[in-house]
Amino acid sequence: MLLKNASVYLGLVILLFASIIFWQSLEYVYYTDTGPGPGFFPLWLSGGLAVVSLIYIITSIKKDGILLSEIIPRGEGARNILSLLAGTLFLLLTINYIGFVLAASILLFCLLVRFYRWYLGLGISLVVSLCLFFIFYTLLGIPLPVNYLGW
Amino acid sequence: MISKKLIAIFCTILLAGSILAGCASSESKTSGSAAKGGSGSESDYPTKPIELVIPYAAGGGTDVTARILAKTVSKYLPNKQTIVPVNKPGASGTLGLAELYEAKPDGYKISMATIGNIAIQPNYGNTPYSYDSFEPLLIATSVPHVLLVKKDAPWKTVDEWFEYVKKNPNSFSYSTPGKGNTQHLNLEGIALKDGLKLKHVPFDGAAPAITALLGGHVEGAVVQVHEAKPHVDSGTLRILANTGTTKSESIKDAEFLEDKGYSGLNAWTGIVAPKGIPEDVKTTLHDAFKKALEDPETIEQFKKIGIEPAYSNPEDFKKTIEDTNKTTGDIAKKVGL
Amino acid sequence: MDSLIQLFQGFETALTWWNLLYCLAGVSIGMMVGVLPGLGPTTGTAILLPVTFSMEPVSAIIMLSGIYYGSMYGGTITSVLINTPGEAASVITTLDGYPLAKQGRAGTALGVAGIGSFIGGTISIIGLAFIGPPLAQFALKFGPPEFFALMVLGLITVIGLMGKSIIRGLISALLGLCLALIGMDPVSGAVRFTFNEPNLMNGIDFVIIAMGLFGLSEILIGLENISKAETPPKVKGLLPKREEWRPTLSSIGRGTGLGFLIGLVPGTNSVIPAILSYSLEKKLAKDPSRFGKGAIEGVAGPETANNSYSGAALIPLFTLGIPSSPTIAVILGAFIMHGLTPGPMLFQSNPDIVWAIIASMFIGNLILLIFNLPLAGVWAKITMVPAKLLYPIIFLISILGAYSVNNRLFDVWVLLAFGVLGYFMKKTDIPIAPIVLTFVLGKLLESSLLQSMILFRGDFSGFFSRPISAVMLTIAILILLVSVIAGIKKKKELLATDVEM
Repeated sequence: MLLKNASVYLGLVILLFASIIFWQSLEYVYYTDTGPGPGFFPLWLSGGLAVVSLIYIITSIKKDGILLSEIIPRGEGARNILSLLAGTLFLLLTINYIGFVLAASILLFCLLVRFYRWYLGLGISLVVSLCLFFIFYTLLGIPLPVNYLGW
Repeated sequence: MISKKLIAIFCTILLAGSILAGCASSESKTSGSAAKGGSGSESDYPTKPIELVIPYAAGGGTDVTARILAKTVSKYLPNKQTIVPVNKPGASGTLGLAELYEAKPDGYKISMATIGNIAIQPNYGNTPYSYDSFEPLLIATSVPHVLLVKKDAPWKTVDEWFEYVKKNPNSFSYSTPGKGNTQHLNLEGIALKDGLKLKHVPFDGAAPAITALLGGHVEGAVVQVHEAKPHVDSGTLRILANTGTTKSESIKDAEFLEDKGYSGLNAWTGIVAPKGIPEDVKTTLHDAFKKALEDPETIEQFKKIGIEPAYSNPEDFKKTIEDTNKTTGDIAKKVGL
Repeated sequence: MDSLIQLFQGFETALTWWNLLYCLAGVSIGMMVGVLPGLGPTTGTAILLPVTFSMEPVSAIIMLSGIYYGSMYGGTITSVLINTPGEAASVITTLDGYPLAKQGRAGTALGVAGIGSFIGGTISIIGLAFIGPPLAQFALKFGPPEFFALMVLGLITVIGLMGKSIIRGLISALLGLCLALIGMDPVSGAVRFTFNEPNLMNGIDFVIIAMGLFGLSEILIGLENISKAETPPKVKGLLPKREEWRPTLSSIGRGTGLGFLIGLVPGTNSVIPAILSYSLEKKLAKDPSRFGKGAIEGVAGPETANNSYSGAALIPLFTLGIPSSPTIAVILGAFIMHGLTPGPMLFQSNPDIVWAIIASMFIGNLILLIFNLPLAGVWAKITMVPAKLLYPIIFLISILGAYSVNNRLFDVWVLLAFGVLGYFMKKTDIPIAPIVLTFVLGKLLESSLLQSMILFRGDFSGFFSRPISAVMLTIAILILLVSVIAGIKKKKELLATDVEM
């Protein structure tokens, strides 16, 4: 039962985060002669967060925990989310080499091909990416990563 | 059905077209450079737009300075190339410089550098680069800092002020745009000479620092001269002293602390390139920017925002960075930063 | 009387064809950057600042200020329709705006927001024109101690907004406060919790956190359930139901006042009046339980407050020469570039320009009302775009928006991380809004406390020696006490009913 309780996992992640902040904040000055130092706030806040997340873990073990099986996506939904994540990772890792238009088209295509015929998906991806490139890069002058050819 | 086919055809054409265009342009580029490369050792730099990194947010002082320069410098670059300003703000201007530090020294990426991000920040050990990691091109502008007080402050002259703070240690409170920033080190450096003790209240930027003074929450503020000017002109604030290294045309009457033997700091802004750029590229860039600085249009635009061009050549720039790094490092150590 | 005559002369200048065109361009661009998640007024004005170098001073500033207040209108649209705040001030709007959209009342939400924004914006400009200078002088009394008191009040209010589970709410609120600590602290100069990542030196940007937690998590959940996506209900009318008019109008009135007062104080931001207005509405409502499920007052109040705020925030600029936010700093830059010095002298030395700008703001707000009321229905049709097409496109726009905040890919990674966090928080029923709200307040809270302590030389009682901060802190403590007592009472009742059942 405990192993299937999603709230416990989330609580643990937050507890871990709070502990890291707490641990780190011990390095900063806690109090100076003119009042609280840079370590004062972090220590109390992360301490508070740790306590609250502990209470959260305990209560969710006792009663209103949410089952892991209820929140982990499955089947079609999981595949949609995975293609979004995979597409984004691909974009982040390659955009500096292949440029925005291509990377964004591939990301969109990853998602759209799941719902549309491939040629339609490809068309929409290219048109949308080019439009956004035009708006952000050309009109708004935002220095998007581009490839050697300038797009 | 027909519409789907149309879309399919359309995107095929689009894709093909873009690929073709891409090939064509890359071909022309390679052939162009090959032809020129073959004609001799004479450089054809620049063959594409040059990226000018602005390590501060768009709309800020350094940004406006950089954009004014970028506009005119394009007139003086060979091959009709242009300068493209790109904002890379963050971490007191050190993120943008860190990016330049990693860039190829081909002259296609250069950056704005200020006393803050190139000379002072490396002292605090949070930057991947050190003060001498770059190839300084030139200093473009340099403005002094000023010590501001309210119009009705009890000190008529800076000597009266010195007397007051000598007698009352830890009671004069002043605001600056941030702890460990140029403005903070500037006044602390002056205070160190006579062993004065001041109460420093850092804010996040010059505007809140001035606001705190206007509201009377602090007794003084150290900011750049053009930031102070509007309030001085309107009569709400008064300049007690020029704490910089140069006199300024716009505040002729202000007492100049260097005359009294105190060493100040100016807020200077220059342009640097990655270390190891070819000598001829460096000369091309330097000459173009120097001409842009002398352009009447630049002078006119600078005047509007209250600054004056202040050229220094690469050697002097290098020395300025070195000296400032050392003096500010000493001050920071002494005040315990 | 003088002012009135000058205002009419201002209208003459503002109503010339060119200036009207610039005003229209300004508010349209403002709407657009407001609608696009991640792009905000600061980016919009900063990008267009160089373009205005060569324009007439009046036209330049008319256009830039148009972008500024126009974006406040635009930010609402995405908050209501796709639960993604377009800019900071609209985070609160998602709380009730999105539930309204789900009920098919997106048109009403947008309509009410449009009307509220117009009223708030117009009244604050009247304030700017006629009673600005004395008010701005008063607002200068807000130093670090008063700021600290205001932030404490804001924080207490956020805690007061927490619904069902106080523990889950606290997790969220404390998480937001901890996240605000990341980066360089301007007061102590310490670099904290950056884990040697230089990109974290400036901390995480608010916009990216909000976009990830709200927008991206919504997209993830939407994509997950796409096969069972219900067709959105048909968009019904733009105006509230008859019995809703009264409460709506009074929340608009309160929002105007609140936004105006906070706008006067340099250094605040538009999120604060929105939070305060939302909690005020919830406290005053006959049935507070409707809030969060589509209460029209929950949209009307905060939306009005942030527009009224943005008008009033120009008062310190016009009368004292103080920019109270990064966007206004850009507008200040534009003034200076054109040889004008905002401040006490401005109304005397360049009355023609000032009054023309003020007049243009009335016109701009009217244009925005026209844009928003009839178009609210058109905007609302965005929800009719099939989800399988809408989500991927919005996702790409969010990536672009996150990138454009600092022009770096690192922020897109952060966006992704917060999207995943938001996804799990939504699934485990931990409220998201407190994170972003406390995140905004946290930074100001800490630095104002440290600044005050330097001023008080470490003596905490200093806060109670200054009237404004003393009053606000007392109110905050009272609110806390009252809600704790009320909470204990309720607990008892709940326990009692539990037993009965």
